[in-house]
Amino acid sequence: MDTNKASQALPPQGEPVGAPPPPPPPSGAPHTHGGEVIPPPPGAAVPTPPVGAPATAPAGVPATAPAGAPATAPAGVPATAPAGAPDEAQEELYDSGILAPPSGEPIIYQDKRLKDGITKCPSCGSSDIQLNISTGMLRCNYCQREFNEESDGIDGDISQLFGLKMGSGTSDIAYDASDVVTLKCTGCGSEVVVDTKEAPQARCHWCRNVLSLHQQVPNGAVPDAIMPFRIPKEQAQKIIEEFVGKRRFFAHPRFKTEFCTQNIMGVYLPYMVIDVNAYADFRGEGERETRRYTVKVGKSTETRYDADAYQVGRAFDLYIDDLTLEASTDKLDQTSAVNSNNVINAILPYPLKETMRFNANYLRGFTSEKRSVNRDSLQGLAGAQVRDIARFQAWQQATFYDRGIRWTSEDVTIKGELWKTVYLPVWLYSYFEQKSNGQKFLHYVAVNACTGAVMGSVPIHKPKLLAISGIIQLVGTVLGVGLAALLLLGGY
Amino acid sequence: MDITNIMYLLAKYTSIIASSDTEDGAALIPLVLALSGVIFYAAMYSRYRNADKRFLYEKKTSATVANLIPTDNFLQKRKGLTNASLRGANHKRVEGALNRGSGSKLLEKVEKFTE
Repeated sequence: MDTNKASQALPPQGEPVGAPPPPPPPSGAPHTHGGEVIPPPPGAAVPTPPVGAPATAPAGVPATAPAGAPATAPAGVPATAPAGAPDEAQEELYDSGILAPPSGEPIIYQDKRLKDGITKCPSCGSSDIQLNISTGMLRCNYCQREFNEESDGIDGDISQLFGLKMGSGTSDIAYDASDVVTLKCTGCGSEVVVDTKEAPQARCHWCRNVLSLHQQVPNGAVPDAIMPFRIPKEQAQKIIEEFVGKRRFFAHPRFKTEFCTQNIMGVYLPYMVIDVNAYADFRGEGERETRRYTVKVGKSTETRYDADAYQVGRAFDLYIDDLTLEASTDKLDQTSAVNSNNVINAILPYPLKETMRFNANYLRGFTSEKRSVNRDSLQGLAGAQVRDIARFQAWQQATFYDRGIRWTSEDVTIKGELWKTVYLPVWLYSYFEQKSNGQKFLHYVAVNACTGAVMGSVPIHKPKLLAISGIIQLVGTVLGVGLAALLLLGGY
Repeated sequence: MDITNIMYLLAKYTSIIASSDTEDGAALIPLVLALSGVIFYAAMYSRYRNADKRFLYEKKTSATVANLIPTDNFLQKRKGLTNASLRGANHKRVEGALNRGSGSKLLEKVEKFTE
């Protein structure tokens, strides 16, 4: 993951510029603050004086620069500690204590429990198993026994996460890998073709057993974990009808005629879920308002502000849990001028602590979309989102600066990261709009099948909306001109 | 960019101006009225299409801060500032969002120009 290098750092007072960065303090240890040991800062971490109070940290006072502050990777060095052969710069980071060397097995295998072929009910041995949405468990359709998979178990203490770790379902897709896999039926011995593009399951046409694909072939069809559907179709239909019902007046008449929620689809979409252990160091300048008043400028009045300016720095460890990224090329394109994929993004998040180990039987009765991108392709996006989260957290630790902060140096170092692929459930209503100018647009209304969150795009009847907006505009203009004349005459 | 996006941008900036923290806000009422149709169009378009919606990962992703080391060094007092916020403030910047909403590129240009 890349590191956003400083364009120009403010010269910290009392701290030699260019001094070698000492290692960050050990986790949980008190921080050193200008040579003194101080207790860890309070939650809000607002160390500055109240409004109007004289500055308590005049220039010249020894800087409060953090002891382990500039824990940043040298330019050009990947901020992550990739598994495999670390280069020289990476070794330097390990030596300095900024990065801990990767430890343990980088790949966490998730597909060794279940074999390809028939997955049998633990009670009766039937292979006719599917999800019971009302209980969230797998149910044998023959003996009605309900059981569940274990939780995915790819988690842990993020503060102890160093280097790169990933679930085996995150391994690179071999682009020459076929979507079609042939399984040998363990019931009758015949060969059954499974088209993973449609589903990782197929029924043996001879003995009628259901065969499942659980081993992770390199085509992205088998993830590490799955979040089963919790909201039944009827409930999702109601949610969508309610959402669209509130948007009927300006909806396109053809859409209104054709709108029907009977054909909504339950889809498992692929995501990459990432835990990140990072170190962030932000430097810049902030302002705190001390006074606000009005002054007369000519005939009118204007607002003026007095403020105290500070050199601001926030250095901290950051533990990000379950950053979620789309893992299909199609859904990564969220250009809202040409598609409505953004509404699917808007129904995040999911309760990702409750994901299960993948079992193809969760997919029965639903469709699924295969993962189509590799971790490498998402690394830049993940890096940018980690920086955004770090920036937001830095701001949360510096809300004292009510006029804002201009960060001039933003360094985020990824010390450890854990990637896994997860199927997440969505109820999807889709409507294909062919516009009069020939443009095509696919509108979605998406329901998070765990939380019930909904977002959607409804085609608009633009002539109607323009006409009513025009009437409002006309009335508004008349009133606006009248009011402006009154204000001018009144010498306001 | 079609008429919808242009109207959307106009409305967005009008609403920003109208909601700006100023004591002579009364003078802005005629402007808001004069653009009421545009504002209405943009509001309805946004409500139906939700083109600007996205998951606010920067705020809503679970994140824990530990071992915070703050630095706050007083620099100077500034008087008679005309801007309501620090010029060039970038603490709320978002770079990794896949969806930037309608007319985002033009908005960015306008924002850079007005900075």
